[in-house]
Amino acid sequence: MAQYFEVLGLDAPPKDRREVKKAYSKQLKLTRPEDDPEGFMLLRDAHDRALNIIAQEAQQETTYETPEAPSKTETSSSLTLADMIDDAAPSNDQEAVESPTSYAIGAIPSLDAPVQTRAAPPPPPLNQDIVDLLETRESRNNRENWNHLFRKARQLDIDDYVDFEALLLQHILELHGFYDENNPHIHEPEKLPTLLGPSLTASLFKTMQWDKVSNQNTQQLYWIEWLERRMGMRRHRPIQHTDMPETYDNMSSNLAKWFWPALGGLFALTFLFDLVTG
Amino acid sequence: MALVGIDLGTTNSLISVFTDDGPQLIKNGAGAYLTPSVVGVSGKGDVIVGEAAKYRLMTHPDKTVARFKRAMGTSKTHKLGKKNYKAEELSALVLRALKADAEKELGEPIESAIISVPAYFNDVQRKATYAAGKMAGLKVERLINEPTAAALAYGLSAKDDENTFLVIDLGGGTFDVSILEIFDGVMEVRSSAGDAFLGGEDFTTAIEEHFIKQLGKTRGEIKPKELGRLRDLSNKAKLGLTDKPEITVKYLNGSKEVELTLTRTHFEELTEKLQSRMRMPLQRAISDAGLRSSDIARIILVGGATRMPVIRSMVTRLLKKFPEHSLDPDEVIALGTGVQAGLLARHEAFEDIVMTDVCPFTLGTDISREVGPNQYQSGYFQPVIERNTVIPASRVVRNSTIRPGQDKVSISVFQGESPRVEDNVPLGEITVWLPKEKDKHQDFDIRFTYDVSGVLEVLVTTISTGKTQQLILEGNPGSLSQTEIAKRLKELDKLKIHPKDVAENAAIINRLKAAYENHLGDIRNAIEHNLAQFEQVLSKQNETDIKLAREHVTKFLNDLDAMDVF
Repeated sequence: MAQYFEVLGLDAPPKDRREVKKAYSKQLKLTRPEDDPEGFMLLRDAHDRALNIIAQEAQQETTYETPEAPSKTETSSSLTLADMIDDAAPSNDQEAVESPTSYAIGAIPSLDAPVQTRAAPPPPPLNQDIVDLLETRESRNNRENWNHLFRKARQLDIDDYVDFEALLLQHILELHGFYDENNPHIHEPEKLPTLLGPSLTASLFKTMQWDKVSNQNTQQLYWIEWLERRMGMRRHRPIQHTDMPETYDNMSSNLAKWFWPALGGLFALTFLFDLVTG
Repeated sequence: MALVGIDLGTTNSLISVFTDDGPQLIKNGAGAYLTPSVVGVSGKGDVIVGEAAKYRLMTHPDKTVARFKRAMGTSKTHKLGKKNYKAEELSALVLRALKADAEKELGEPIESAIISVPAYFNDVQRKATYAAGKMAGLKVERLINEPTAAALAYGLSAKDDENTFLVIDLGGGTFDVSILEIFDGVMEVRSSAGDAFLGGEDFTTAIEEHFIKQLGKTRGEIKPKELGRLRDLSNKAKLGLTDKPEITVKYLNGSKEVELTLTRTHFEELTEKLQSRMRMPLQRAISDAGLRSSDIARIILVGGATRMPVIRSMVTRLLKKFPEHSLDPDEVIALGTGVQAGLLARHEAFEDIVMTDVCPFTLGTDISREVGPNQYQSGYFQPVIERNTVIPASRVVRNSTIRPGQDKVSISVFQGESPRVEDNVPLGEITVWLPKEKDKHQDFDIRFTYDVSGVLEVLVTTISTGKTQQLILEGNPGSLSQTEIAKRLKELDKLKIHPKDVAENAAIINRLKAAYENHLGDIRNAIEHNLAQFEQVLSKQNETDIKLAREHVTKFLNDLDAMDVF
């Protein structure tokens, strides 16, 4: 089995993205997707693999050095979360860093630690608006407030909007007690009373496209599934295994087990009876 | 025998060919590049396609159809005179017209074509497009995604640079976004996203609704013929707002002329919902490519609808960068299909260029998931090929039976992004028999292979026996079977097509008649005069005279159109 870098036509693992791209484009001209689909798929896998390895190495390096903020999303929203925890439990400062909240948007905890000490980055988009909206029961159950928030959000550029969506998800999780360590129903969120009306919940899921999750990472999937249960969005009741309809084959196996032997026995009996009465 | 590229659009269609000078558009019989995707029948039952049919939308709305691309792959039929047609057949008629024009222009028969489809067209719609090509007597060599074609048209001039492109394609009926990376002669589509039901026509509809409200009526109260005129005016208003902040059009309401006005600001308010629908695909394409919008070097606008200032300012606001449009947005895709034709024919200009594309949607199967001890929930979507995977691609998942001793599974194939299968598009189903072993679960592998043309093959292999079964994805509710395609091909062959120049003259007459109904007073008299003169010239059957008259009347009509709009 050839090493991935050999597939790319290299003698050693490539050092950077640029080298991978160069090698890939050179090989690609020899294995065109339309002429050699099999060869192309191998080449593409090697290319993806090389880029992944390089990305991983880069991430490991940043954990040692002071990170140059690998992505703005991660920095800003994890900071916000820490802030939020501070608000919620001001006495628990040390724990807040260790709490699951620091895993926001897939950031690894070690990345978060140095970020905490850095100068405050620009505030995340519409943070205050979200906080105000969710503050009281009345304000968060007023559709007009939500309309207003999203109208404002749509004025943002794409990057800020992506950050806004991530931020809102965290605020909603926070509101519903996902980060509350004393929450007795963390594993059975459907047992808690809902905080938002059903039609608002449905609109929120639709607007945020939480009903379309096929390309999200495991962490996000987990968050959204939890929210689905917590906010009463589960559309389908689970089916009991034992309640599942019997298949035809199982019925035929009953037939085989009881009916045919019984019939055979009956025939045998008749035959015997014939013999006896002769 | 030539290979052509065809942009089969919602509103207009174009055809191109690759020459030594690069991609070239081919003019139709009327001397224009754009052939309206409109089909109608005449009083005698002859088929009219293109420009001539477009004007009959106003004069004979019951015998003319437009915007049928949206119904591709559905069972919806359009009534045209006495007969019902499916969108595939109507598209085939447009393709036939394009083919005939190009054959005349090139002087050689055309047998094969590359047809562009919106990136977001699903498997059913793609198959329908194949069928339409077949019914038009064309061998469809390849379907190409529209934004990819657009990038090809632009990318050709920038092949030596290293660049990340964002292509925004707002056509008549569809919206597509693609991100492309170009490096060392490799054109790589990084991601595609879109909305198959959002386009310029929706913006026209918004204006139409506004005008209907201004007239103080409801849609139901207006006769189809008047609605046809109103739509034409709405479209003119939309085009007019491109250059002017305010527009007034004159509509003949019964016997009274009414002025309908619309400002650009109001238009922006009317289309707020449509604009916000454009955000999601943009956002998704960028995040799927693993980028931030600041990583994008160039933004390219494609499709006639991107001429609207509303769209341009929105794109600038969202991406904080000015979009470019150095090529005519109506022609870009057709030029790109021409480039693809050159690529496919291995024209020497492309010796060291390779293009890779992605599968724009997630493909997978339905599964049951264990949600608790002995509790199963069915109907979950299991992605096999994730969206924006580079194609060709082949992926395998291993599944197992739920019950011990189960010897049969039915596997349904779906396409879509929802975690529940009922919200996704069903593509087909296969039933697999497994060896029956008491108290044992059976494992099986499901392999999806997606090729460069976007055709999916599904193989199921039982682990214990090594037996493989193939699922042939055919027989979707909306699509046509092979025999059906052959049958319809014969039926379409029987249809009489208007002779070319007759069609062109008919177009002018229809346009004059439509204009006549739209005006009053002196102008109406002038139109009537023109109409009478033109018909008289036609009756004399002198080619040169007819040609001169045609030019004269066309100029008159163009002036008239310009007058209509303020």
